Amino acid sequence: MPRDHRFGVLFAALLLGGCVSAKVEQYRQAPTRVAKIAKGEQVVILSRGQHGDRETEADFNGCLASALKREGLPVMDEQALVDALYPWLEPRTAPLNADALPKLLDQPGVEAKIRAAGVRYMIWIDGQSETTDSSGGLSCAVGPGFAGCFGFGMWDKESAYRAEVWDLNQRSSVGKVSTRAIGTSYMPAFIVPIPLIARTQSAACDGAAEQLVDLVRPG
Amino acid sequence: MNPIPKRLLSGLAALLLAGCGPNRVETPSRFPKPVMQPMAYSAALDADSAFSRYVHQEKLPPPGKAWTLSIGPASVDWMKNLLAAAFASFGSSGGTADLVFRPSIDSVQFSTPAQSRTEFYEAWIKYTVAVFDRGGRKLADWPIAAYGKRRDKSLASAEEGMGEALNKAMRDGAAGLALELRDRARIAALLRGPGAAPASSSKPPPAAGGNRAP
Repeated sequence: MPRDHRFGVLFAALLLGGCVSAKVEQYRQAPTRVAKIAKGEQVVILSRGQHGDRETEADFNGCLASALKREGLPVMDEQALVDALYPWLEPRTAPLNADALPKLLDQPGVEAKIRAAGVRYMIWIDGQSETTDSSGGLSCAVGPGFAGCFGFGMWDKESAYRAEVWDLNQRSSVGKVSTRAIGTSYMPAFIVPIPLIARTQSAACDGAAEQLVDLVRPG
Repeated sequence: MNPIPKRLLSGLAALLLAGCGPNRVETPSRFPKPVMQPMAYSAALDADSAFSRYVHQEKLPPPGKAWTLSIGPASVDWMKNLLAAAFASFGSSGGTADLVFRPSIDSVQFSTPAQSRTEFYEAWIKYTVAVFDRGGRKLADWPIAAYGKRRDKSLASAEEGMGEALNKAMRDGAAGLALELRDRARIAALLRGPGAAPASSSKPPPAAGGNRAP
């Protein structure tokens, strides 16, 4: 690409980069006193799998786990706990609310496995990211000695997640956090497409992690 | 013909034909050790060849491909795995077992992301587990509708996605059978015969050797 074109593309990217936005809303419902996690204890982040048409993305849970670990919270691998308690954390058997937690813990062998793993808090995640609207269009062509795309596309994305924290010692829910991020992404193309992505999922992850760390602070 | 180009042509032809063939899926037999308190009965799995070699074949409408899903071997594995954990004694043939489980597969359905316009490979398996006593008297028919799904992101192939969806469906089937077996008083009532009142749930049949979980 000629040098002046490269500058043009860079200038457009910088100009439009300012338009990419993600708005985050957070909500927390929790008592003021939640027991801090003690040494040797850990949390586990679990996804709701009961919905047929949707499921929280594995990369959202991964992002949340990484953020909690950075704040000093030990996080157990989700699949390791689901396998250790098989088949009692499968979508059909996992408790849907904290009222059903005692029934899970009273299942022979389950509480012993949880104690052995040192899991103190279960964090249940429900939600997903989805494209809510899109407009514009791109067209690309390839010919002898030429290839390129032209056009302009934009789309709105919403990332909405809820997290509920269960204290396995108290056998009850100790707090709920919800986070919602919305943003518009752009894809201008003048020979080369320039994706300007609003990272709503990442913003929602950061918001949820901040609230969760505040709720279950490392002791 | 020079042998090297011949081999190259054969390889190329094989590759081209592989692209035209059906998607073949061998369901992964990955099932963890179940957390169950074994009941003080003996049990057996009586899986006939129709069950243990069950294969589902289906040709999707164009531009979809044909699929061949091997369901039987992994289904035998998850049932053996669960029943061995749920009972004090377990065998693969009827013999003198207190309870004999005879499974069958009524139907299999699946969908691909292209079909459903979602991000998921999905699988449904409808099992029926017939339960017999040692005299061959049928005690119950338990229908188990199992479902599993796998997001198509970060998958190496369509076969991997469908295999993982089938594995999750089988784990769901195991959860369904575990729920049937959890009610120990009901199992005891089944063995006592028709019309028998369920034993009080506060006095379940004794566990064999206590809890197996460490």
